This record gives sequence, C-alpha cells and structure tokens, in this order.
Amino acid sequence: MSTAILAEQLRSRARHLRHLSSTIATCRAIGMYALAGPDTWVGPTPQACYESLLDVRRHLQEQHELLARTASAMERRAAELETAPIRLPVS
Amino acid sequence: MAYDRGRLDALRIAMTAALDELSRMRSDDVAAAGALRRVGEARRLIGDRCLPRIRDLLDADPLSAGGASWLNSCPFRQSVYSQLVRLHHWEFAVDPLDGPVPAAVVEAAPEPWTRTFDDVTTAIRCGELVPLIMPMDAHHPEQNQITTVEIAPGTTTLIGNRDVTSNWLKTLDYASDVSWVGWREHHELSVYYLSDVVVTATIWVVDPKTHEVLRGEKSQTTTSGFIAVRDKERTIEANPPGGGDVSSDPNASPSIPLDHEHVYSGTFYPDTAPRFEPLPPDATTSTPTWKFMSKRLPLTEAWGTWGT
Repeated sequence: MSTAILAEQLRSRARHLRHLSSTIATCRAIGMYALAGPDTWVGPTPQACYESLLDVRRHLQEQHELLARTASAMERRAAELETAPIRLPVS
Repeated sequence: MAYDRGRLDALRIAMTAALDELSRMRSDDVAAAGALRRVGEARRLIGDRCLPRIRDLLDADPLSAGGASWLNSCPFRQSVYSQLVRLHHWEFAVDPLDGPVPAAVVEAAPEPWTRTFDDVTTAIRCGELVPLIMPMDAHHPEQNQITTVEIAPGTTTLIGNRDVTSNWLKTLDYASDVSWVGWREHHELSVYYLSDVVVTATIWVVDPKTHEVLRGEKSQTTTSGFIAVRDKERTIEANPPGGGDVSSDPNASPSIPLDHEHVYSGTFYPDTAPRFEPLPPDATTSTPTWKFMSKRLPLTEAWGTWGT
C-alpha cells in the first residue's frame, strides 16, 4: 500500500474519531447529573443515582479526551508518512 | 425518599433522550473500542439503574393510605424529608435503600389508648398531635373575648403521669424541712385518652371599657383524643422552732400551713379536627371533668388555663 493511501486512511480514521469524540463531549448524558441533584430528589437511591451519573460524566469526558488525542496522533502520523522520503527496496 | 414530581419528570425525559443518543454512537474503528465500551456502561447505568426507579416513582401514587400515618409520625417529622414534603410540597416514597420499611407504613396504627406516656408526649412535642384550636369570634378583637372549654369525657383512660417538678423546686422543698418558712411546690403531668368526649366551647364577648360580659355563644362537639393536664400544687408553711402544731404524735410535722393553691393547665389533642355546632344559650351540658379558660382571670377557681 502506498504511503499516500495509508496517510489518507489515517486522516479518515482521525476524522471519524474526532467526530465520535465531539459527539461524546456534547451528549446529554454528560450534563445529566445536574438534573439529578438534591433539587430534584433526596434519599439514598437518588444519591446513588446522582453518583452514578457523576461517574458517567467522568468516564465519557475521559473517552472524549482520549479519542481526541488518538485522532491527533493519527493526523501526525499521516503527516509524517507524507513528508518522509520514499525508500525504495534495494535489489 | 422525597422528590419533586415536575423536576423528576424532566429528568426522566432527559434520560430517555440521553439513552437514545448513547445508543446511536457506533464505530468500527478499533481505536474507538474503549470509548464504546464506556458508552455501553453509561447506557446500562442510566437505563438499568436510574431510569427504572424514576419511572416506578412517577407511575406510582405518592405514599398514601397506610403511609399517611407514617407521614404524620414523629420519625418522619424529624427526618430530612419532612420539610421538603410539608413546605415545598414534594412527594415521598419509601426508599428500598433506606433499610427496612418503617412498621408504620405497613401496619395499621395502634389503638390510641394503648400508646405509652413517652410516646404520646413525644408526639405532642414533635407536632404529630395537634392541639384543639379554641374557637374565636372573628367579629371582635381578640382582647375583648374569652373562650372557655369544658371537657366531659365518656370514657377516660389514664395513659400515665409523671412528676415534672423542677430540680430547683425539689431543692426548695428539701430546704423547707429545716427552714422557718417552707415553700413546697409539686408539678405533675398526666396524660389521658378520652373517648366520646363532649367539648363545649363558649366565646364570651366582654365590653372593653366596663369589662362586663356582653354575651356568650356556646358550641359543642363530640370527639375523642388525648388530654395533657399539668397539675401544680403549692403550699406555703411556717415551721416554728418549738412546733406550732398541737398534735399528739411527736413525729408529726409541726408546720402551720399559711397558703395552699392547686391550679391546673392543659391542652386537648383531638384525633381529628372537630366541628363545633352552635348550642342555644340555655342548653344544659354534661358535668365537665376539666374546665379551661383561654386567659387566666382572677376569681376563677377550679378553672384551668389552656396550654401545658
């Protein structure tokens, strides 16, 4: 496979990961905890639910950042492939 | 647990939308596998743990029937939920994570006359038992009227009584044994359950200038409930050193009583808010066991003061 095709594949994957990352970052589940606080309900079950939603928020934010970092790494790699000298096999 | 139905419904709608969003997140990229695993976990947490409980709460009727006695009970009134329910009109449901369901929710309330003295006095303190509101004439200023309440019970059950004399008065009583002048004061709180009690209330309208009674309006109701009566007995005595009392018993107290007073105060706590019906002024009423006045007036012996 040529480096140009490989670089384009990496860029395409990076775009997809960025899109997924931004979808996660803007999803309603991230801000859900704000609606489930003591203004809405109070008690052990509400507290457990509120803490679960805080966990959901933390995990999704971690994944959003991780996907964005992975996409950046892929884009860097694609750029490297395009600028690197072509090595021909020595016969 | 206590909850605001409107806000909880908004949370349910938002959760359903969030679940839909999470379900639509897909990727075939191996680099997104970890993220999608977390998305799946989030979907399960919201969809399997939080949302079903919220739906159950919204679909069920708020705590009622057997729970009504629980909402009025002291443990609930002293809980953090009480204010939210009473002041902010939140609803209340038994939370499975709260531990065993309070007995008051599943069991019928015990017969009132089987309650203990401590239980009843705690219920009075926490507001579970609501005192009878003395009727008033709305057309006259409060200071120009006096309400009297006469209580004639059908059946009286003594729940219990307790010496509530303060330590200071007990010390004074002890000191009176060795003093020339003695002051003995004894306070006792008694709680009774009264069945089929006839409560006769009379509103006396008084002329503000001459203080003469202008008219009295009687009303009556039959109800049941608890009454808390506080008796105060006070004796002032002289203890002359040589013994002033002429007595053949050498061990008898040589004290000479100078003044004796027995007064009482009390409050009636009806089981349900009574509805007073007017009575003709000349109507005869049963002989009351207790008579209370809304104001303490001189020359009103044998009348108790309202309030304990």
